[in-house]
Amino acid sequence: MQLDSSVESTVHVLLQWDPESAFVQPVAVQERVLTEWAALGVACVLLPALLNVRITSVAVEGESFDYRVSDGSTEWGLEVSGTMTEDDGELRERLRLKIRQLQANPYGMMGYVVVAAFVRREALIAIPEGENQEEAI
Amino acid sequence: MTPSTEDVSAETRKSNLLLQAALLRDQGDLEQASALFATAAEIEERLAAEADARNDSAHALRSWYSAASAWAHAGDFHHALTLLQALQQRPDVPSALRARMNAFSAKVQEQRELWRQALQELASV
Repeated sequence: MQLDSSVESTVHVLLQWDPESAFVQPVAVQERVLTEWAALGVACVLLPALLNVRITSVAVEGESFDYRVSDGSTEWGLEVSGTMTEDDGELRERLRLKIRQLQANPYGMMGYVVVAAFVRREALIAIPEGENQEEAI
Repeated sequence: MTPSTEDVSAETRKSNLLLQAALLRDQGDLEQASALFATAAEIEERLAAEADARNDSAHALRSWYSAASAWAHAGDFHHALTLLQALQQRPDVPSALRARMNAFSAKVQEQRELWRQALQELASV
């Protein structure tokens, strides 16, 4: 998956949250942890809605989590990350880093990368092998 | 061969347990997190054995490693290391995965040693 040669398209989406699902008090976790969980939430919503794949399996690998997504017949890996950066360059660097991490997975499995930037209200999704696309939302 | 319907259901339950466990851990509820990690590890071991039975090596390796990791997250270092040692004996482990497992084994052993030292200090008080 080469970012430089990728085709990029933008889709505008409106995400609405059920007020009942919001925390009523500040969550007692570090901001880094919160953004990672929030990014996973964004991925859970966007992947089925835009790409017709959903998370089907989670495993622990050492200290990190390994997510798998499927369209019902094929399974791919998934890397997710969240950031509070406002900088476009930093966001894209994060995407490149996560793509490298996905490519380095020991099972040789390609897949999807979702990086959510909460201040920018933007998520970058890198689409699986062969298609060489990147989609900005 | 594909996983059975029961396996898919167990996969979903295990995945949910792991996510809930991680969330509780991140929120500082280590007691409840450990309980969920241990329950997930038991399911993962069953999924791994079933994947081995149907010769699905890739699925089996991932599940065995996940089971070992979940036991470590639950605080059961012995169980984690026993599974990791068994995995290291397998000829079908890709080199990249083997390197990751070795690094993780070393960390679990390090934690076990720290725990041993803490026990020694307690005993000497």
